[in-house]
Amino acid sequence: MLIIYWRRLLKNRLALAGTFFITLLIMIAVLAPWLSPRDPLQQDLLSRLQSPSRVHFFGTDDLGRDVFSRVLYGTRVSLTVGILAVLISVLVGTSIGLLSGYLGGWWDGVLMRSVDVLLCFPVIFLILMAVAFLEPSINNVMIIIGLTSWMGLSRLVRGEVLSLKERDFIQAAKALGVPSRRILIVHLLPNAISPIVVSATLGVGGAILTEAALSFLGLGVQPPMPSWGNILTVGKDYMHIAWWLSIFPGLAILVTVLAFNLLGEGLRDVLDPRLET
Amino acid sequence: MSRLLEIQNLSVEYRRGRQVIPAVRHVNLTVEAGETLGLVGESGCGKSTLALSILKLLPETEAKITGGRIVFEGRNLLQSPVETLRKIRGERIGMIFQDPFSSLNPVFTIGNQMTETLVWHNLSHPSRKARELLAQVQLTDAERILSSYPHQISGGQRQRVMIALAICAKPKLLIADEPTTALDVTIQKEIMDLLIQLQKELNMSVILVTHNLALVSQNTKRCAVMNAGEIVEEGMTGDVIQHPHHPYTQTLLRCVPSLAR
Repeated sequence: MLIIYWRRLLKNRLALAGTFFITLLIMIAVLAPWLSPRDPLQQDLLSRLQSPSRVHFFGTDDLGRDVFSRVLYGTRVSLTVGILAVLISVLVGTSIGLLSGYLGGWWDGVLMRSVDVLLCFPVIFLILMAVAFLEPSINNVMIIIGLTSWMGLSRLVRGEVLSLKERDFIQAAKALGVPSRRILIVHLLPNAISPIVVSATLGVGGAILTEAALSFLGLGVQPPMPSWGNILTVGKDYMHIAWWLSIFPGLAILVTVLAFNLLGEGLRDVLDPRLET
Repeated sequence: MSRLLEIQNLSVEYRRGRQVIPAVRHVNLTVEAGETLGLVGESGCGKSTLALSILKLLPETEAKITGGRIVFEGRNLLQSPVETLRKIRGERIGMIFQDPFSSLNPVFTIGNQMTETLVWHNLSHPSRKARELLAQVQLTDAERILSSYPHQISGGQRQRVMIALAICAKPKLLIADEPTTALDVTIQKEIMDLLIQLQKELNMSVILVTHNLALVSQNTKRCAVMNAGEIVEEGMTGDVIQHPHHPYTQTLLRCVPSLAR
């Protein structure tokens, strides 16, 4: 099975490009200390706001810090937040979707109406409220993004479960005496995995955007720790005289989100059961 | 012979909104230990509903058992707690279904599914046991079958795998709900012969649910005819087929196409 999916993925050029870029990003995140020419926190007030050159590839910011190094280190923040937040959201969304679909009846009603209510709140408002009560930190941002983005997924999983649980093999498993808990995890979940994978991959892009927005607003990752969002915050003030401060972290966000979206869309095609060969 | 299963005055209804459809009406049926009972009737007569209600496998949101008792080995299944019922399923009562393709989980290999079930029934050496079971249902190429996904083996082989799973814990009763309907005639015969042979080997009772009268007359001693949720005739298979009393049975017998005509 996996080999078939892998072959299909190799044929899908856009997905391949996404995969390639994500691999590159992960390597950059891991190797940031060795790749970056300077300490991202080190200030050099004599060389403030310098335009891109051979010494500073992406120029320097208002405190003379090397933007290239800061963007490289920012990769760590963005990827960590993006991936962990999505993990939280997948965990919550999948469990609630599975339970809701499998239990049905009264439980289904209560869980899905709660999801409806949560979906009514503008997410950014929910996040702002949460951040107001907790202190802004990378961990809190991750948890908050995770806990505010699972609703769509839980609906998706519920739908899958509803159609799967009518299938004969679930009935057959019950007739063989397999307990409900086991049926949920061993028989239902693996059959619902493709939409979860697709939705999660697309979700990483969204989570990275949300993190950037929060950091931009000063509610996410706190300076001096570099993140693409808070580099942009500084960049906004110097937009007219130092374009490089906004353009490079902006591009980094754009390309990263694009890469995850391409991979997500690619996976959707690859995992489509209607595709043969 | 002793009574293994006794269904007393069982009624089942399907409810959709305000609509109430009675599917099984005041059915009484007994199964003796070691016998094969045929349960015949046309599509929609309630025979599958009856079969599913024995294991309480009916969809809870729609179907409701409105009355009666199902006594198996002296215990009323309708009042047994979930955990007891779960132990009875598979261990004391096995069940096989009409479509062997959709009865197997498409994302696992046969080997995975078999060991999974065997582990649940606390059987030691699951992979060796899986091979033994496959041999018991006369599947020779065990290695290939175990490493295949359900779509990679034939319909007859899938049904054999389902039978192997159903008998893994040596149940006392096997409910076969249209076990051969999705298969072609030659495979039908093989599967029925296998079921009868296993029944003798394991000394279990079999309820053969089918619309196929020929199957019942060849393979069962006793049979019950169901129509519109009720059992209209019950008796030794030979008598029922030779001298049907109920008009519905007579009609049913007239509908069987004959090669001689």
